[in-house]
Amino acid sequence: MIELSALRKVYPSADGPVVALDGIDLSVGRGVVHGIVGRSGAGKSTLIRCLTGLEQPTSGTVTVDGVTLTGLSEKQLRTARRNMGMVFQHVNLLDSRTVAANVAYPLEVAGVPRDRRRARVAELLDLVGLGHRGSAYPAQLSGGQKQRIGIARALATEPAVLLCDEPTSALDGETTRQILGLVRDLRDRLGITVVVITHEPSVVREVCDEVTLLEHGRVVQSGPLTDVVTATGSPLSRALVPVPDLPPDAGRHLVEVTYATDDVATRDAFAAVASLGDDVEVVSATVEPLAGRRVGRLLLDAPRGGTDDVVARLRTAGMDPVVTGRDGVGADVVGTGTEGVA
Amino acid sequence: MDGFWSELTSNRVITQMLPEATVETLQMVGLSALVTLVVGLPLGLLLRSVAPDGLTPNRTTSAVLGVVVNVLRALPFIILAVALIPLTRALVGTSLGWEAAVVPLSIGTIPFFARLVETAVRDVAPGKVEAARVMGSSTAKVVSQVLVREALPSIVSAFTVTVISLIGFSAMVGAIGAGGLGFLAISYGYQRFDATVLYTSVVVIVVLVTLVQVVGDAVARRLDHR
Ligand SMILES: Nc1ncnc2c1ncn2[C@@H]1O[C@H](COP(=O)(O)OP(=O)(O)O)[C@@H](O)[C@H]1O
Ligand SMILES: [Mg+2]
Repeated sequence: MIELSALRKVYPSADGPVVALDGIDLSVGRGVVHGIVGRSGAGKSTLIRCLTGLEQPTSGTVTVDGVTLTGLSEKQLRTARRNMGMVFQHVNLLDSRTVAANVAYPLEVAGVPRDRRRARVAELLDLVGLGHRGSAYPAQLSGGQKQRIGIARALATEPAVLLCDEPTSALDGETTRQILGLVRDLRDRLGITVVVITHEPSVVREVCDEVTLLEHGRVVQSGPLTDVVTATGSPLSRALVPVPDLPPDAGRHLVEVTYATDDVATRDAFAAVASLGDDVEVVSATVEPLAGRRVGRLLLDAPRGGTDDVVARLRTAGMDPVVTGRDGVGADVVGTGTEGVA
Repeated sequence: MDGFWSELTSNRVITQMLPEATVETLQMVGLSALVTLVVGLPLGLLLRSVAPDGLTPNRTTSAVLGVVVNVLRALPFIILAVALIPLTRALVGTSLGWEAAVVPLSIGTIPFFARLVETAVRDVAPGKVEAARVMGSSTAKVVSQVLVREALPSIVSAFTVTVISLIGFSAMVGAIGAGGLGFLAISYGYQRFDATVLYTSVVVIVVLVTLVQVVGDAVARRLDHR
């Protein structure tokens, strides 16, 4: 549904060119919810702007639903954009229009006649659970309700692709869960392909089927959620399956194991750890539901010089451990929750 | 009070000339306001559009328009009005009368209003523009349906301020032959020491200003759903 190949975007700036995207190859299949994560400035927004054709890539190609956007005229791009809906962090509803008129806006732009517009708007408002608020103005809605309207508007022209740039970053926890539930529900009902930009690991955990980590405009890690989280020691595994802080007296040489219950049952994992003996201690651990499975991550403190032995024995038990320093354990590759508007 | 009322109704300047002067002021201000709106609104939108962070950035146009607008705004109005007498003659055929006054009044307020429009439109969140563009809006539609429509309450307030300053300017051009309430207040009230004429003219001007402000505020409030 979405194909990016060798995508580069260089911005000119006063202190030399800024490479925002540095050779991105990415493919997202139909009906998939794909997360894009990375620190502020990693190039996430630039990537989504290239997808909408608002930004012309410096080189490389962007193909959405069989249409190659690179090299299209402005007019052709405007038509191509009707096949994409976009949801923004700050929603960006027009304050001068009622909720219904906001949802109708993309239909007006597309030249849909008034009576069909009205029917479609009613349908969309029902879809996002706000059928009774059509005549309200955006200022009269809560943050979560506004974002629902933002989603209804994005879906108005029945796009094949829904692009979301930090859709829940301005919302509280409960509202975030509701909005993500709506996105998942829409994907299931409409079969729409979704790209979600976020810096919140919880968003990826709750809604994404696949995830890509960007750093300095490059893809660092990408794949189905279960694959990336079970890639022990990988940046996304650490970001998406966080463990509680290590006790201060934990050693400097740790062994890290991540598993999904399809591969190793938690009971077996614990048995394997227990068999390592008294001097191997579990210093931090978590087991949580993720992508329809249970994913566990354990950090073991091995005695001096014993890490290789521990790794070898866990491997025999069917696990994929790595040796790690305590600094890497909580590596924050996604950014903190305090990222600004960027 | 009785004495004042009889003075008011027996003063021939007031009974015969005040109504006519009021109508002249209204015509002068009304037509100038219309010209200012018709020219100043697009000019303000253009100023915003060609700015470096506008929809159609254009360094040269932006610089040239900026200088012209700033120079016109920097000149005290009465000096501008005198300096424009030759142009007024060329355009209207005379520099006297309310029709002629429309030329300096419009040229004096267009840059002022254009800057206010530019500021109002600049305040529209860039995200709204981006959203409209993603939905496939053309630049012209983004300007009319997003920028102007979202900034409309502020534009109405800006227009209100502009009309009020036009009323003030119209009194000044009265002094250089445009007629209207300004002429009445100065020639009878100031030069012939007729205090009744002076203060009555002032009261009429204050009433006009108040009316414009009240109507402008009400319209702006009606349009504002933020
Ligand atoms: N319009 C622009 N002009 C110049 N530099 C830009 C522009 N937009 C983004 N950048 C730069 O490109 C890089 C990536 O930005 P962005 O895509 O916004 O990152 P993210 O959304 O991941 O925070 C940053 O270094 C940013 O400063
Ligand atoms: Mg961003």
